Amino acid sequence: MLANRNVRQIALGGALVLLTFGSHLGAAMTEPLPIGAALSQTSNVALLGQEQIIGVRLAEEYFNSKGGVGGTKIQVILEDSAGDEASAINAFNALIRKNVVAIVGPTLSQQAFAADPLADKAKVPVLGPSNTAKGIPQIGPFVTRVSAPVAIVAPHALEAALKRNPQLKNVAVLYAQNDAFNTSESMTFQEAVKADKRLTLGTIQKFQTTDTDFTTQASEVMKVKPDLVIISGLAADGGNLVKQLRQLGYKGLIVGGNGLNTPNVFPVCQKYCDGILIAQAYSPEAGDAMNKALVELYQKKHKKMPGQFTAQAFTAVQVIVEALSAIDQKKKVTTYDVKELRQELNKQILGQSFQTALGPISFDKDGEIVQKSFYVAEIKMDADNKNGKFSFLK
Amino acid sequence: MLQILLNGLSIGSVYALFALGYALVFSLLGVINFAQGAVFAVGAYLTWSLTTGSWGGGQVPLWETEMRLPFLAAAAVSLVVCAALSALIERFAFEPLRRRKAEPLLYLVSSLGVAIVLVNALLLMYGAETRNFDLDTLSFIPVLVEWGDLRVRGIQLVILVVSLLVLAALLLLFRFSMVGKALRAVAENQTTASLLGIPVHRTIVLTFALSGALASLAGTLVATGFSIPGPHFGLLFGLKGLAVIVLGGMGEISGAVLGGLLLGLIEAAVPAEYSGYKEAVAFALLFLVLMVRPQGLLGRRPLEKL
Amino acid sequence: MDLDAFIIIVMLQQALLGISLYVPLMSGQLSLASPAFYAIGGYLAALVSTKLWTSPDASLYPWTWVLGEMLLAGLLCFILAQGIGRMVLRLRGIYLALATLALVEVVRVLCLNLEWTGGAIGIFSIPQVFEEQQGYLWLFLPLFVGVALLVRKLESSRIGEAFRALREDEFAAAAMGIDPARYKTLAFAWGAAIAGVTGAASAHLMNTWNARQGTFDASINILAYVVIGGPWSVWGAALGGAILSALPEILRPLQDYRLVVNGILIVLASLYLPRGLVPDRRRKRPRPSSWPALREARADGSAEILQMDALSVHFGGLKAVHAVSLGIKRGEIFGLIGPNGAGKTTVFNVLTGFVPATAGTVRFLDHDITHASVHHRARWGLMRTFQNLRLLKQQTVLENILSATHRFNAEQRRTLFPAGAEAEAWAWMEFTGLLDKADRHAGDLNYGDQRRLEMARALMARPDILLMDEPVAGMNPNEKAGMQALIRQIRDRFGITVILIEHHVPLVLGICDRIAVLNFGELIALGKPSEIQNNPAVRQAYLGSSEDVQHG
Repeated sequence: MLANRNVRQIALGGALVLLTFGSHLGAAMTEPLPIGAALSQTSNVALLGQEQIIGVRLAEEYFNSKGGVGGTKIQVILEDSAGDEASAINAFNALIRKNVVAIVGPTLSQQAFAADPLADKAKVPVLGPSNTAKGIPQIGPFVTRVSAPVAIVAPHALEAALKRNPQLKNVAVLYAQNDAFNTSESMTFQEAVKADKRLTLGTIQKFQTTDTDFTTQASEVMKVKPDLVIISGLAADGGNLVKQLRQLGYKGLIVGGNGLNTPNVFPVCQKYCDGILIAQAYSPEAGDAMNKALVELYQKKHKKMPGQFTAQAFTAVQVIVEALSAIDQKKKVTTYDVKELRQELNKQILGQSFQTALGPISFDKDGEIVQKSFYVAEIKMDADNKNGKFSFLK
Repeated sequence: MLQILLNGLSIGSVYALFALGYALVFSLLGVINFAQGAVFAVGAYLTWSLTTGSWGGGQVPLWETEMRLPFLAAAAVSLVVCAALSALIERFAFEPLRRRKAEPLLYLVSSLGVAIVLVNALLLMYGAETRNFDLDTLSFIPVLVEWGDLRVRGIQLVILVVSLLVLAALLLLFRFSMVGKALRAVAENQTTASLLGIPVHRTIVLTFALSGALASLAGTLVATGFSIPGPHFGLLFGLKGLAVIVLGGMGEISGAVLGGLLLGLIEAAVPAEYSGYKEAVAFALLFLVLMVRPQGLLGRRPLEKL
Repeated sequence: MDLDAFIIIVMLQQALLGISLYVPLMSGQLSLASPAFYAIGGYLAALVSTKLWTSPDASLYPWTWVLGEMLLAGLLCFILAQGIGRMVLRLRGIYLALATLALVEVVRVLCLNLEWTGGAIGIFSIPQVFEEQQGYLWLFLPLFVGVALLVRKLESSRIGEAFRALREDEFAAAAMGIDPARYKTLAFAWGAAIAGVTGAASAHLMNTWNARQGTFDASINILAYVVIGGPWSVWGAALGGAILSALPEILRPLQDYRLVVNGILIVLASLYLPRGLVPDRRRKRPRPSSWPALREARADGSAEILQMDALSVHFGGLKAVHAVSLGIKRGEIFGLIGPNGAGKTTVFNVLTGFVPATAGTVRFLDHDITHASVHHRARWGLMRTFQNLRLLKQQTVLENILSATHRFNAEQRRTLFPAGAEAEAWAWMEFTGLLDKADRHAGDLNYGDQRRLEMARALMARPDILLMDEPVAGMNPNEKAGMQALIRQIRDRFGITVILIEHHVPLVLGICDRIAVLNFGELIALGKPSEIQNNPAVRQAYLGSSEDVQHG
């Protein structure tokens, strides 16, 4: 039998549910123009998120100082997407409710697969700043990304290594298997090694981005006496791995994946970072005007060079601002209804090309980034071994 | 083989050191102090800040000071601070429950709350970036020790030796000193102990302080040997510590040591092609050990009187 | 505060996970395995809907398929958990918690490494069931209501009663005829099924599924739900889940500080709400105006009902019981005495199945029961009380007595208790003098009342034989006399055979038909009280331990 009390409790719950069913109707644009950012402020993904947050904040400051969108200021509204899928969905929902014109985020590819479909359904343009997994732009017409998929970037570094030492033969591959990006990057590397007749794949070692002790993996690598070690990991784990490998006496070449493409690795492996070859989708050394502006702003505040995550997040905001500006020239953006403006914006983003800190970029019909400039850099540490730089190889 | 043994013992001894803190509190109160992992992280960050002179870097802006302590002094200060922090945790999250004779699960949850607060406070303060000691902080230690085919990083040997020394010292202390006797008496029965004139509350606070100090020491060792990969690292380490004490047998001091060394060895022994399964192997083994010995390796089976 | 549909859906989802931890806890099992089964259920739905369902024209995923997935996930997890539940049966408390936590980690790593689970990326583009996200309310709300009501019903059912008995005292429960293995496995499997069903529904809600969905931090969170909500009822678990999962979202305006505040609130809740948000309620039942008289029976004292043949129990080198052969007649009051450590309680333990026999046989009603389990013997009619009192201390006197009906199946109960089991329980309370204490918690009773309650509980089961281990220990002379009268009535009015261990020798000599004397595990004397009193071997044994048979 159902007790009376139970009935009351259920009725109360039902009422609460119904109360929240109010749908969010369209509204006229307000000033400043709200641009959403759903990035990881908390959780263990915050390592990546905090660099992205710096990127969107710098972009907000920079573009507002340049007059915003045809004189209308922009405002970046930040919601924490934490480290899990539900938080990303919540952050997206919160931003959509706040009538943002577009969303930059979320931080992880896995979160993008959860949250992006919502924005797509609500017809809110999403720019993925760091979602490199296969299939992201295909989620829907409103989903685009400014992060080049790994398959395009990675092989450049292998070529550079072979150029450096044509006698290369034995290769060891290591990757962080709990991270989607590094796993697929490593697969690309492994295929490239297997396809190359000159190279043999000595060992494949897996680790977790949360690991600190790589003694086992490093010992195994030393056993096969490789000439080249390829590491796909993030700054902390990857840098640590480099350090422990070098300390165990490894003398050969090291190729780092895209996750190591951040100045954050310098303090991790310090003098042992020296000489790591890295394929980059972004180089702080690149000469593009926008990059120079970004680097100058960043250095003023943080006294070091910006990394790829910062640059990509910055670029995502830039794409939105410039596309809005193009719309604004035809008809003031402030006269639009939010829903209309989002649709216009999405069309505009897909049709325009941009001069960014990542070099000239545009988007294909899926929303995949078309990026021309990739770099291979070699890490050169300063004399004090605390800081260093990525110096161009080509 | 010897390589595996050395690698395993090195990290395993840190596990043991850390887990000993759990085991001490558990043997005394029969509850788990989940905040142990967070104190571990606090200890690591503190030693780092004191040696490098850099504070903040998260929401708190980076603040470089000239006040840099020599490494050993920094580690000692961190040890003391974490001991005090742990005693404070006892005062605010455990004592009120103890006075009320609350269920053991409540302690777990309240200390979980403390862990969330500490970890996120660290995140606010330091951000999520990796922190690393300057390589020249410990330049007196040789980088690589080679012995035939055996290759060990100098720092690992230091970790191994320091942990084993501390462990041995503590085991002797518990066995032969008055402190050890007081501890065992309180663990056996708090009322009897207080009747015997043993200051029960002080013993408990002291135990917490000791477990905080152990967490700090483990944190410092891991941070110097490897790095501090962010505040959340402490929680992960905390889970491992939990596995260690259950493996060894809850509340058994020597069980924590055995469990720690064993876990380190097992992790090191996972063959390369299965390195992806490393985490699972440790836990699968824990599961199997419990199937065979439900009370852990050295745990005593509680006698049921009918 | 800005609650939207998704937050409410997540609240319901987490409430369901809270319930999935609560159900095993009902039977005393602290299992943290929910996230593992949640993950498995999610993968199942993700695989079915992305690999098996091929209908590109339809934009929405058919709801019949979702229901099918949920059913399948529930079933799969239920079956898996049956196996795992059996394996972890022996584990208690924190050991069980850690073993199940290990399970979560193993499942996570497997999903991360396997080919068909999609590795780190997992499975994505899971088809949607509803046009709008808030549509999932219509999936999760009925699911939650359904599960909550089912578990509510379970709480008040006989199975729930058995669960509660197990949670309090597994030995006492088994001695009342409750099969611990069966019920604990059942509770474990139901919890797993709830988590699995929730996972299957969540895969669609989340659009994607990967190894990050079931992790150890989820285990710890769910545990916090149940502890803070109150581990006493389904509403506590559900409320805890709903509130704690909404909290970080409600605290969103605090930005960076939200998780620090979240942590502080958890500490405060555990300090100031030690019984949880929904505390345990004492289940009071009104005293009926009348109850039928207790059905009486007589037993003829000719046939042997219980036989021990060369029964031995050795613990290592210690011969606790050695080659004891005895036959107990139906309707007898049989005394078992001997100095301390003579092996009396061990005889009880081996007769009731708590301790395995090293050698020899036990026959009961002409069946060999030497290897039968505790609860089977209880069901066949062998009941006992305990020297160290094993009551369900957090339950009322009435509930304690009712727990003994687990010996019978539904049909037997109908014939045995035509006026209902509860009416019978009141009659037994009257018989043992506990009428005024029906609603008191057993743990709050004084020593004598606890002894009487143990007896009332055993009598409720209408045993063929009642084994009483020191029934008057700790009683004052008045109470002892009362108990002596009760024991006699048990046999005279209800025809129950009584075997008695007692140190209080006058009582034994006063009411027993026959007495057996054990010393160092061996039977040294057997006979009528008068024969025992004058037996030199007995005198020797008692003198050896400086006790005198006459004055005990």
